Amino acid sequence: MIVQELHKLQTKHGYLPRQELVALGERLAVPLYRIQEVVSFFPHYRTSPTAELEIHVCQDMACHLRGSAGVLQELREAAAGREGQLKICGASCLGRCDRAPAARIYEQGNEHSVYNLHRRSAQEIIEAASTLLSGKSNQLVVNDTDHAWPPPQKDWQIDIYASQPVSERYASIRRFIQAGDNSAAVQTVLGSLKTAWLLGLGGAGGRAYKKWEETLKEHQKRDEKAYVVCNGDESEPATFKDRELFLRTPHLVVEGVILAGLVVGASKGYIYIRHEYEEQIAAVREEIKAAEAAGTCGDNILGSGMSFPVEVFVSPGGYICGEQTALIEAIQDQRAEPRNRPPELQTNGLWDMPTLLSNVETFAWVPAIVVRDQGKWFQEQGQEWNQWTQLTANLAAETGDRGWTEAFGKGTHFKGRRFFSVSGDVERAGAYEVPIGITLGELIATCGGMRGGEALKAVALSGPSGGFLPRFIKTEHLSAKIRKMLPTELKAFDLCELQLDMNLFRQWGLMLGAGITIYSESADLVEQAYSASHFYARESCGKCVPCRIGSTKIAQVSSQLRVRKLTRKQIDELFQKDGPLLDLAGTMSSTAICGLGQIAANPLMSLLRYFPDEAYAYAAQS
Amino acid sequence: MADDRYFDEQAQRWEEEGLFARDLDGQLIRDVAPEASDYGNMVEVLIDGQAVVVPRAVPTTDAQGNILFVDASGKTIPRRTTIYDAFRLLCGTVSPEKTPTLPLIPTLCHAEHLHPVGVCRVCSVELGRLEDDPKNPGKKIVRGGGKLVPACVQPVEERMVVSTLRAKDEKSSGRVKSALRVLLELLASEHLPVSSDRPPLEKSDFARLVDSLAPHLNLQPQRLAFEPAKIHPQDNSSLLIQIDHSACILCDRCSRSCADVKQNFVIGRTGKGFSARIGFDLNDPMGESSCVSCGECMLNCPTTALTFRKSIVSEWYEEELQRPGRSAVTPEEMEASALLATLPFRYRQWNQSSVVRWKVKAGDELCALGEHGSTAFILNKGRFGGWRSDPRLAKKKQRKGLTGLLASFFEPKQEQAIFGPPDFEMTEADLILGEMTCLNHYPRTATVRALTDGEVFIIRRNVLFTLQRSPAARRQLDGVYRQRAITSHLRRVPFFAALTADERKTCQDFLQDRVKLLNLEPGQAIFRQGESADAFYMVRIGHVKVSISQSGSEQVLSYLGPDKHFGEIGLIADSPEFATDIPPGLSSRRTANCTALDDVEIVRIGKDDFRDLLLRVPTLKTQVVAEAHRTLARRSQAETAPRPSSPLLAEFLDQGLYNAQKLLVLDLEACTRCDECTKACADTHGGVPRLIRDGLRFDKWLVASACRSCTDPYCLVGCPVDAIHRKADRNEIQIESHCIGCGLCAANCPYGNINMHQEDDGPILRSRATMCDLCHDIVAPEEDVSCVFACPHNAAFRMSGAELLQRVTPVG
Repeated sequence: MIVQELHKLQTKHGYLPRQELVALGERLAVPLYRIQEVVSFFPHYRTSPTAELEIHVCQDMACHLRGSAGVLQELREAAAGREGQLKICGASCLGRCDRAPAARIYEQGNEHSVYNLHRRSAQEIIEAASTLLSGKSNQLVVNDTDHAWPPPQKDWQIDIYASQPVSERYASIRRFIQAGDNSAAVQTVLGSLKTAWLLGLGGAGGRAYKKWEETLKEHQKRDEKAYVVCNGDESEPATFKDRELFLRTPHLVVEGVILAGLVVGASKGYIYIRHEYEEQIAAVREEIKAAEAAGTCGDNILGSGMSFPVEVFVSPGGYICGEQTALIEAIQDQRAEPRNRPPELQTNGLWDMPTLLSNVETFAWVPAIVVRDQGKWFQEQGQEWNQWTQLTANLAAETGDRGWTEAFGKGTHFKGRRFFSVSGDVERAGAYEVPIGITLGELIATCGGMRGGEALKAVALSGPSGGFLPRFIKTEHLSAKIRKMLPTELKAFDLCELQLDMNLFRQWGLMLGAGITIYSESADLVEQAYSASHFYARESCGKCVPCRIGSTKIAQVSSQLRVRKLTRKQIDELFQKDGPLLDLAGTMSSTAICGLGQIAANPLMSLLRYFPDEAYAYAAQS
Repeated sequence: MADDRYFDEQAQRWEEEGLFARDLDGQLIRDVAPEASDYGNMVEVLIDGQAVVVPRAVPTTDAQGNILFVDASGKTIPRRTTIYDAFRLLCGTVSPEKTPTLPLIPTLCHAEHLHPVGVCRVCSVELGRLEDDPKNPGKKIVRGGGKLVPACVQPVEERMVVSTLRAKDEKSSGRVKSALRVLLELLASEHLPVSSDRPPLEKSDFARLVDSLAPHLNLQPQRLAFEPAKIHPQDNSSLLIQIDHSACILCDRCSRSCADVKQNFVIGRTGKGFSARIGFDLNDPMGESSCVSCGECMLNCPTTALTFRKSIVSEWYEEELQRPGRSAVTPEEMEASALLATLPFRYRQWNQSSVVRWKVKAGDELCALGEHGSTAFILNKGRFGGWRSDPRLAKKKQRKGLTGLLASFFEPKQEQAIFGPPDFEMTEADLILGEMTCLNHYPRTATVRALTDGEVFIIRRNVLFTLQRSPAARRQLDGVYRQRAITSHLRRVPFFAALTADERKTCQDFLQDRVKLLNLEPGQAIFRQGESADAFYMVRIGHVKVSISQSGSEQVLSYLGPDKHFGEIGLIADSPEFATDIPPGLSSRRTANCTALDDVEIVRIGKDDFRDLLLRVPTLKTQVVAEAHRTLARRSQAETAPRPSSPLLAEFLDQGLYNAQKLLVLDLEACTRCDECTKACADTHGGVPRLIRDGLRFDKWLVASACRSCTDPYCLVGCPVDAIHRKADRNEIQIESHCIGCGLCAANCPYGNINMHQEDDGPILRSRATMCDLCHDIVAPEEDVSCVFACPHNAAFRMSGAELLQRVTPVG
């Protein structure tokens, strides 16, 4: 209850007055330090009154690329001397990378107090702020809502109900209940997910049917409680597809969550959404109500006697909440500090009960898979393998790679469709639904090609987590296994020809996430590495030493590089074999508790590895 | 220019499950609460090639190392055995730091008396799993490696292959070393003070770890100091503890100590990421927070973030040093004692005045039978003799009353002539003496004198208490304590009293290794009505409630104090060997519930051993059979016998009156509420009364809030500086002037009879514990204390709980 209570208090007072916190401690019978732990952890909470308006400007990836640093600077200058009125804050990714630079104005003491200002100049933002400060309520303030922003793709195949009346929705729930024989219905759903070969689309790429099956099995063993949690925290820079799924197809997400709840026999479902997604939160809440009204959610679903309530849990903020165990901790009123693993959530999840936690998109695909034809359509959606994939497949077969064989057997094509959030230097940034196996080159073409027809220099294929890869990656930089596989005369591999599939990427030792940022020749990668390194330092939870201190050390080096404090010799010394940076990055990767710490060094390390000349261009003279 | 290893490996790890997240069949392993059966479920783990076999689970212990019991059946709470546990077991009592053939797993955030959190990652080891080689059937390969795991939290599993920094495989040890080096360099660059503008601080455990590992790891503390370390402000608000947030490594030891060990719940993490710090309450200055200054956090801090401002100096220490043969022991000198060496250095510094060296002369008396005491003696050198009866005590008993007391003052204390040869002898091989009284608060069971010249360290209760935090010291002390407790108990209890010396010896020899000593928490069930009887019990310390369940409610029958026994009838009821001797109508099922009332220490003899014993010692069998007959007879006439009604008895037990030796009770029929008692109390104690003329009623009596002199006082447990105790032959409990005001005793007293009194003039403290001291400064033990003496209506009395119960029980 601490998180929700704090949220209420802050809404009421605009901040969290001390006496209210003391009273809360008494009311909930928790020691004060527990409240302080939560209050001080989440950026959403304030313990002192703030200015009339707070302007947040995103500092990450696409926004940084589109000059958000300059916007911030201009805003700060404009706000100088007006501290009571205006507070300017650099923010972590706001999930509007396709509308960069993204900014928001928070108005105190007003219930509907958030204004989105996307792709706006500092001047426009200041004007909006002035209008708000003038108190002229009749004057319209610019507000770039997510609803109003035109989507780049008109139709999504994921929405099987698109041309149907609302009453047709939740078909999978009706079918599940009408089957009568619960265990047969469960097997049908699991079989469909397996046929479809739906993978976890939050980044880890685990097999969905397996996760469902494991949670179900654990639940049957213990026969206590089980939970379904939908991870809609989506705070990874460059990632915003869930934002669109929530907004345009909330019924798919809710249906997926409910079906999961019925299959694993869960007692409750949580849809965890980052607090900056106000419209999405409203849309999902409304959809839950609609589902309840239709009898497909809540008590006694369709008269079956089975109950499964679903509620929205609004995140108190911070990238780390997207880490699955940290998210669970946040729901449990703790600091969102990741747990030591194992155990996994399927066995020891929310309140130590079996928990099925998946990404928004993974749940959203469930109706299309289960309702249409038990997964067959979905699995046929993938692209044919191209020559590089075929080579990789041969290699996997030779080495007896189980993961690959299980996924594809003797097949020759990828399975399924998925979403990518594409931002940066493309003509039409946005969330795209594409067949799995589309190449990077094809994806860029889908987005209308490179911005202004510029050449592609680099790409970040998993937000900042995987670092920055050059379009032409030198074969010496590929793993030994892949190098051996490729024709010897090939000196550099064109990433545009690589099909975007998690299994394939794993074979290549590369990371593929849901957020892709494209950089043209004019992009400054030192700036990008600097901004990404600072993102991780800012978002580290501080629980384990390698990440708490290590991420800040990496950010320090990126700053020194950016302000030209390092000589070329120093750069080389830092990055040489057994030098401090590789040692540090290696230790972070091998000892950090969660993914954040493990990959926080990647942006800087990839810059130094693939783009040394860009780094040298920043070298201090002498 | 760069090494490819990092790039080749890191992509594989993202969001990957741990190696041991699944079993060999690919099934997820649920972290279930382990079961007692796992104690015998052995797992072999290879650590640096050395096999160690450990049980999957071990019993959960509290911070003092006491095994936690669910109830007196000996049922415990299993916890998973970790890699670190296995490593400790492999090392045994040998120090791995000094033994290069052993694996080495250093720790920083982990301390064995706290639950592990795995945040510093200094105990990281490389983990692999021994699996069948798919290419070479019949052969095994080690899969995994690369990803390191913290040994302190990772549970052991079958086929684990663990590599520490001393592993022979250089790839593995290199990985661990490189990680450890970077982790310590990260911590050192931010939290080990180097600049001269910081106060020169003592060496901390952390600094010592860095120093000791530096040569092996090629560690350079400033290698990763790309920018100057972040300086946090110091917090000087506490009068007891100094805080340097810059030195804090966020190991969470302080917060775990505060919440888990002391249940104070003041310290937590505040802020996030790199700027996270420890915080008190709502991130208040320590001195303005609800911190009670118990010092526990500071004693557990491995850095110089939490340090004490001033060592404790007690009056006892200053007086002791004046006495012949006594001298101070420095923290460094304490290393010489294997026991004291296990204390954290910080603790030795802070509590230096709890240890005194005594070069004893032959004939010096260490302790006297029947006296209270809060000291124990670590035997360094010499021979010591113990007498289980003291002729002086017999004389004292003869001359009771004031004259007797006066006479005892004039009696020469060391009257060698009247002592015969000692009942037992001890040397330094026996490690320690006097620890029983010190730990269980019961009077000394023997008089001990030096037989030759020698040397002992006198240590106080707080030191003995803290020694148990170290598993090594605990093992030694525990062995000694259990052995002696059982021996002394078997010797003393009435159950064996009617036996001849030879029979008693038979019993002792037979039982010595067969009995169990169990510790129970208040409210823990020993057995329940209707259960089949499986053991015989003798109360050693504390009190046991006997009750029956009748139509859903509890009927209290009686309570049993120290030295009482129970549970024997059920054991012989269904035995063919006793069938001819016992009356019919006895059941092998328990006829009542037995529940611990307070902290109970109990000797348990299993059913088979008990029967065996009776067959070996016929006298005992006769005794038990006779008892069985009596019990049956008593049951049939139970309704007519005069005894306290069950509700009254239940009330008596609920109010804890059974434990009281000196209740202040007021006869409400005579009391006019004139408050003379309170005034007299205030006059005696510098204007601050130590009693409150209010409290619970028991029949027509008011049990006033004043110290009851419990048989087994709760208040004495855990005082960090040993400021509260009973002295020698006095029964009252006193609080000494070096009390640090942490309030633990006040929190421990279930009756609210200790008050924290604000000290305006105190140089260090904001408050100090005060309590009724039975006016020990002005009256002799037999005299009326001020409150009773002052009562003009003859309404105030001091009496024991048993006496009070007798007064309210209707007579026949």
